[in-house]
Amino acid sequence: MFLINCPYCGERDQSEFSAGGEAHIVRPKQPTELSDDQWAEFLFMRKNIKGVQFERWNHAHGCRKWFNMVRDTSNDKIHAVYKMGEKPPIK
Amino acid sequence: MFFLPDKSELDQISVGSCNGDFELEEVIKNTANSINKFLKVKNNDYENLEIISSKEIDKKNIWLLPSDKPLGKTKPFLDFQNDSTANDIKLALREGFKSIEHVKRYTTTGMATDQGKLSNMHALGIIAETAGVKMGELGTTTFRPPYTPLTFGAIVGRNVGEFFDITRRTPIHDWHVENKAEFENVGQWKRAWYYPIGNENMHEAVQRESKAARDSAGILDASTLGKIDIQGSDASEFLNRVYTNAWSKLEIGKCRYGLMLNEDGMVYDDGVTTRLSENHYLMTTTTGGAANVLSKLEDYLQTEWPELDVYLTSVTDHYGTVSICGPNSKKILSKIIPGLDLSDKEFPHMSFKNALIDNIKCRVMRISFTGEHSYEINIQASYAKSVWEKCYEAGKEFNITPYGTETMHLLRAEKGFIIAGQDTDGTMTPLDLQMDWIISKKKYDFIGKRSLYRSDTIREDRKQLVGLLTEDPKEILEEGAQIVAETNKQPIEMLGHVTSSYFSPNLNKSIALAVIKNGKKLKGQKLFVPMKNKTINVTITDTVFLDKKK
Amino acid sequence: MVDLKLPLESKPLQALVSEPVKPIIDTVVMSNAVHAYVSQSDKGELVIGAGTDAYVSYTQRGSHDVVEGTLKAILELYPIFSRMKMLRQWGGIVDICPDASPIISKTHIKGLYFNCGWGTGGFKATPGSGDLFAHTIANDEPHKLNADFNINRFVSGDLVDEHGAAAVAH
Repeated sequence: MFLINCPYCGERDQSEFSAGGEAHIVRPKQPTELSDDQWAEFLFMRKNIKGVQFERWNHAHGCRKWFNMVRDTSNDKIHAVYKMGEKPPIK
Repeated sequence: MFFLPDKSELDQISVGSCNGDFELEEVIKNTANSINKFLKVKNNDYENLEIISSKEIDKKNIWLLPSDKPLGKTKPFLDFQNDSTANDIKLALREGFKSIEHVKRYTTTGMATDQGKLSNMHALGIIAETAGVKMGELGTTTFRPPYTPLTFGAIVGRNVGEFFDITRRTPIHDWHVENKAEFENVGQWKRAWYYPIGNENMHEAVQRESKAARDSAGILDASTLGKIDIQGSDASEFLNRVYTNAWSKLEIGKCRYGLMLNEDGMVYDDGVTTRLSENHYLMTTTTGGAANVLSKLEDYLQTEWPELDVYLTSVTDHYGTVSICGPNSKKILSKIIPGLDLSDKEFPHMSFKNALIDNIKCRVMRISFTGEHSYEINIQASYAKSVWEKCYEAGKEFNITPYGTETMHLLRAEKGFIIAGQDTDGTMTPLDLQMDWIISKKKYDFIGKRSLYRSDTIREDRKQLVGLLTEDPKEILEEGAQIVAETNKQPIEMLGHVTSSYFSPNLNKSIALAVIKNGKKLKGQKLFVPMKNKTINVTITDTVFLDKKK
Repeated sequence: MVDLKLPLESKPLQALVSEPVKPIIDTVVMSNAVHAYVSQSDKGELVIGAGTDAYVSYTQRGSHDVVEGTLKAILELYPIFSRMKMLRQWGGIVDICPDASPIISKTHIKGLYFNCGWGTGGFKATPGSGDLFAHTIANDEPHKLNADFNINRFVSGDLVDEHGAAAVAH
C-alpha cells in the first residue's frame, strides 16, 4: 500500500489506481507477420524483475488516465511517474 | 541484546532507544548527528552540552535465571501464554530443530497474542547459549503487523450488510418490487429474476413467462446492459479494431452484433452497437462486463492508438431500457408511439429510429436477444419507469407478461445465442463457438486476430459449443455436468461439460448447450452425462433449437 | 543462460491469523461471492486468506487494502468474528501464469524441466504434481494428466483457463 503521484491529479491513495503490467510494450503494427513465438512474446512474456520496474498504471477511480511509473518491486518505492508517450525520466 | 532496525529502503531513520541508544548522552549525541545527516542540515545546538546522567556500566543479559535445582526440576517459563519453558527450547534443539522458525513452531514460543514480545529474545538467547553459537546465528523470527492486535470490526466493521458493496438498481426497480419479482444479483445490479404469481415456484414462473413471450408479448427490463457512447471522426475505425467484424459500411440508423476478443483470441464480451450518425455510435455490452469493457477500450485508445479521434462515455446509468418482445410487440409499440412507421421496409430488423413518447426523446432499436420480433426503447433514466408502465398498460390486451433474467436466458438458449461468461470461459474462440461468420476475412487486424491463427487455436478438435438433447425430453441436465463417450472404462475421459440447460416450454423438451471436444464434427453422436445415481443419454445437435423460419 | 522466458508474474499472496479461540468452525469455508476463506487451526487461531496485490511485488508483506477487502468478506459471512483480533498478517510471493494454471513441463532444452506458476494454488496439489513431475523427468515425456500443462501452450494458444475456478485470489 502506497501513495501514487498521478501526473494529472497529484498524490492519491494507491487503492484509486489499477496496475496494468509492464510498460513500453508496443502492440505490433503487423501482427500477421510475426511467428507464434514472437506473438507469444508480446502477449505473455514479462520482465517480472525484483528491483526497478517500468509499469503502466491507470487512475481508475480518478481521472481514468493511463500513465507510466518507475517502481522498485522489492520495496514499493516509486522513483518516477510520467505520462503516456513520454520517455522515462530515468534509466 | 536487542533488535536494531535494518537500513531503511525508504526515507526514514530510527533514533533513540529504538535504535539501541539507552544512555541519555548517547541518545542526545547520536540523535542530533543522524538528524543532521538525514536532513542535510547543520544544527549544533546540542554540541558541547554537559550531560549529567546515571550510567549503567555493568549490563548483562540473563536469559535464564540461575537456580540451585537441576533444570529438569524447574519450570523456567518463557512464553507465559503458551506455557512453553526453557526446557522445551532445549528439547527442541535436542530433537534436531535448529532454525528458530522450527523451534518456534515446535514449542509455540512467541506465537501467543503478544507475538513473542515477551519471550522471543529469551528464546534466542537460550538457543544461542545451548547451541554454543552467536545470537541470531540460527535465525530470527520476522515480526509482522499489527504491532498491537486490533479487532476485525475496527478495520472493516462499517463495511458489512448493505454497506458491503454498492447496490445498483434500475430506474424501473420499484415496479419490479411492487409486482413481487424475485431478484438476482448480477455484479452489483439487482435484476428481476422472475415474477412468481401466487404460489408459483421459479420453474413454473419461468415456464409461464417463456411461453407468453413467444405466444404473445413479454416485457423485460434491460437497463443494466452496459452502454457506451462512442463519438469522434475515427469511431468507425475504432470499432473495426475492437470487434472481429467490419463496421465501416454499417449504415446510419442500423445496428450490428459484435464480438470482442481478448488479445489472446478468446471471447471477451459481446453486444449490439448502433450507428446513430456518421461519427456517433452507441455500444452495448454485457451487464457484468460493462466496466471492464470501457476500461479496456480506454486503455487501447490512450496507450496504443492515441492518434484516433474517439471519445468514450459510459451512459449505462443515463438510459433506462425497456425491451418488449413477441408476436404482438409491434401492435403494442404502435399504441405507444402512434406516429412511427413500423413496417419491415421502414423499420427492419437490426435498425433504429429516434422517436418521441409524450414529447420525450427516445431511441427505439429493433433488435432481439430472444429471436422474437422485439423492440428496445432507450429513454432518459428518469422516464424509464413511466414508459415501462405505459407499455405494460398498452400490452394488457395482449396479456403482456413481465419476464426476468431466467426467462431471458431460456429464450436465448432456444435460439442458440451465447452468453459471454456462461457459455464461454477464457478458452473459447469465436470458431469454437461456431461463429466463424463473425470474423471479418478482409480486415488486416483487430484485437485478438493474430491469436486465432496459432497452432492450437486453429486445431479442428478443440472444445466447441454444441447443442445437447436428452434422450428423455423431461430430463434436465445440470449445468457444469461432465460429458463422456463411454462409461465403462476407467478413468473416464471428460469430453466437455454442459454450459447452459433449461426445460423449454415452447419445444416441450429439455435443451442444453455444451462445450465438447471436437463437437463440431460429432453432430448426431450419442454421449453420456454420468450423474451421481444415474447416467443420462444425450445426443449432440445444432445449437439452434427453435427456428421459426422453418 | 538458457535463453528461455517464462510467462510468470510474481505477486504477494496475503493471509492473516486471529488470536486463538475455542473451536468454532471445523472445516475450511470458502466463498466465491465475497472472496475469502477461513479455517481454524488446531491452536484455535482463525486462518484467513486474502487475495494477492494486483501488481508485481517482492515486498513479502501485506497491504492494508487487501486486509480490508478480506476482512469485510469474512464479517459478511460471520458477523460474530467482528470482535476477533488480528494477530499477524503477511504476504508470500507467488508466481502466476497468465491463465492461472501451473506449468509442469519439459522444455526444448535437454534436461531442463519446470514445475512452476502455481500461483495461489499448489499446496493441496503438491503430492500429485510431484508424482507427475517425476514421471515427466523419468520418461522425458509428460504424463497424460499433465500434458495440458506444457510450457508451449502460451505460444500455441491451448490455454488451461483457471481464472475464477478457485474461490479467491486468481
